[in-house]
Amino acid sequence: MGIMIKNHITDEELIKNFQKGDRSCYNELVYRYKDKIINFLYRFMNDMDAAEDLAQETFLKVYIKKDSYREISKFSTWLYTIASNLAKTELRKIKRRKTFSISSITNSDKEHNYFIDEEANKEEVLDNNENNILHQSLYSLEQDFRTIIILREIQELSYDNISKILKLPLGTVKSRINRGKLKLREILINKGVRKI
Amino acid sequence: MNCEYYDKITDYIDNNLSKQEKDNFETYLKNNDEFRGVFDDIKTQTKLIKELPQLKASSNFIVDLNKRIEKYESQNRYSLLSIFSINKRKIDFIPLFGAMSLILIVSFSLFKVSNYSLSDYNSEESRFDNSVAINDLDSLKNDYNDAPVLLIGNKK
Repeated sequence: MGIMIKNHITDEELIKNFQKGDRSCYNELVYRYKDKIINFLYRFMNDMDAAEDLAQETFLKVYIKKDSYREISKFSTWLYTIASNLAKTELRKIKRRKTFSISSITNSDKEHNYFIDEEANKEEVLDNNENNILHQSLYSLEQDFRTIIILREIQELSYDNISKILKLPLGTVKSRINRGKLKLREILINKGVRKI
Repeated sequence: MNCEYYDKITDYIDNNLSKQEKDNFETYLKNNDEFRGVFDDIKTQTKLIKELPQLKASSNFIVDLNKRIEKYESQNRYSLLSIFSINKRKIDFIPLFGAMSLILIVSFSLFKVSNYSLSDYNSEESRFDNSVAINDLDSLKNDYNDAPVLLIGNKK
């Protein structure tokens, strides 16, 4: 009910109302962005458990730091900045611990199937194996290229938003997207994908 | 390999090029087989990335999130930081804290000064006159076991 009433309210109005103490506006923001953030984090982390955990951390941070949001930027920019920073920190921790292994990839792939959007048109969704090759290739890209491609092509954010989230000049964002895609093409060819 | 055109592949796909840039791009694409191969791959690859399955948060995502929020709030309910944050909107805590500290310091200083003056005065009053005790022949005649120390320290 509350969700339907708030449908016409912008993200920026919702966070403003939450800052004034309206908790239902926070719930609406979580409802709007939870799947998008999960998608972003899963493609970035390659681990569904970590993606869920980091997504909750992201929204908890929004809850705790609500007063630090200023209306000069879009709410989504702020949200993705938080998620992106948390994910980068987590990857650094994983690298330091050196516990990353192939087994975690396999586990995440199993879980991956549980969370596929059932409403998606199955004819349009590629075979899981092909999806996995593409997903793994995307994951094996350098972090800088991977982040930009996910934000642009999966999250469908504007160049301007990406530039603000990653604090990079617009030109750098555009050139990294192109270079990232060329690198991804090389990875796919090396994996034996003759013609994409 | 002409880098200029490779850098414009995404802008071309997204239709972000000007008319002139678009025409030049298409001319290069038409006349360069290798570039056309790369362009076709990138175009397909971009389409496939966009079509990757959209994942959904687990069904208990919001329940778990609320638990985290409750945990955070219960941990911070009685902490000094939470008091700061509760009062942050109503009153500016820092000036208040400063004023209270100043009052405490001034009160303490005044108390110390007055206390020192009083004790100083009392000590002047209660000063022992040892010379009198030493010259007091009557007291020297008394038995030392009775209270010799007290007798030596006779008040004026």
